[in-house]
Amino acid sequence: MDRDLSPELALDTALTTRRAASAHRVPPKFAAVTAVIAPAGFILLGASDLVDGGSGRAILGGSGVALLVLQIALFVGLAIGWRRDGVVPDPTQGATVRQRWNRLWLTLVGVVGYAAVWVVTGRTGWALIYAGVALGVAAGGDQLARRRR
Amino acid sequence: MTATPERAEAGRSGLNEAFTTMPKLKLVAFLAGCSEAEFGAVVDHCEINASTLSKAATALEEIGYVHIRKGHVGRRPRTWFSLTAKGRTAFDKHLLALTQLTEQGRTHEAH
Repeated sequence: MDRDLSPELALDTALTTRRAASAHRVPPKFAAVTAVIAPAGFILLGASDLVDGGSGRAILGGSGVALLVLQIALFVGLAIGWRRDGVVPDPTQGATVRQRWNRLWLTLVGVVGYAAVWVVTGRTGWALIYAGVALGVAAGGDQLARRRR
Repeated sequence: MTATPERAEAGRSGLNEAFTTMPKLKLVAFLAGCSEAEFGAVVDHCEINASTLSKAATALEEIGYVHIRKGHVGRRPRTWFSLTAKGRTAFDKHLLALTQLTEQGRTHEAH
């Protein structure tokens, strides 16, 4: 270790520098907005599949697609901002190893649930509605966890 | 002399010799707090000059702790750094060792 770099100074520098990088986070407003947009998009798409033809189906389907496109556009805009800023935040920041595993298990349960709903009902619409509700619940849980941290 | 990961981790007290200079410590600590960072952003935030940062990043890349990626923002070339899984683990161990040493020092001073 450098003669001038005592353990205290090294620890303080490391923690301060890491904190400076961690300050670059996903904006809370973005997380809150996307927690609504993507689930609503899937639910509308699912509903359009269950409606028997007509203009209702087109309106629901069009609205669902529009919301999902908006979601993608918002994320692309955010990613471009990170690139310009020069710091890309770590999406798992602040989460413990246990929380990361919980998230992985929840994702697996979500995917299995989607397949199960699709197989049992035989309709893509119900599976999409399930996906929307599951995404909404997961995003809502993330919001609560973020507020607690 | 080029450090190897084995040599870097062989320091006494659990300290990693790869992180015992200020520029390397700052670079790795900054990368530990994000997913990826651009050269200029690291220079600004860590207050390291470009030449020193370049040398520190190359040394840490050689031992597999930092990944260096060349990219573009628009037409401008950019260099991006990220911490490898090995680098993250090594930094976490180094931080733990620093914390223990600091606590030992405080206990020693108290007596």
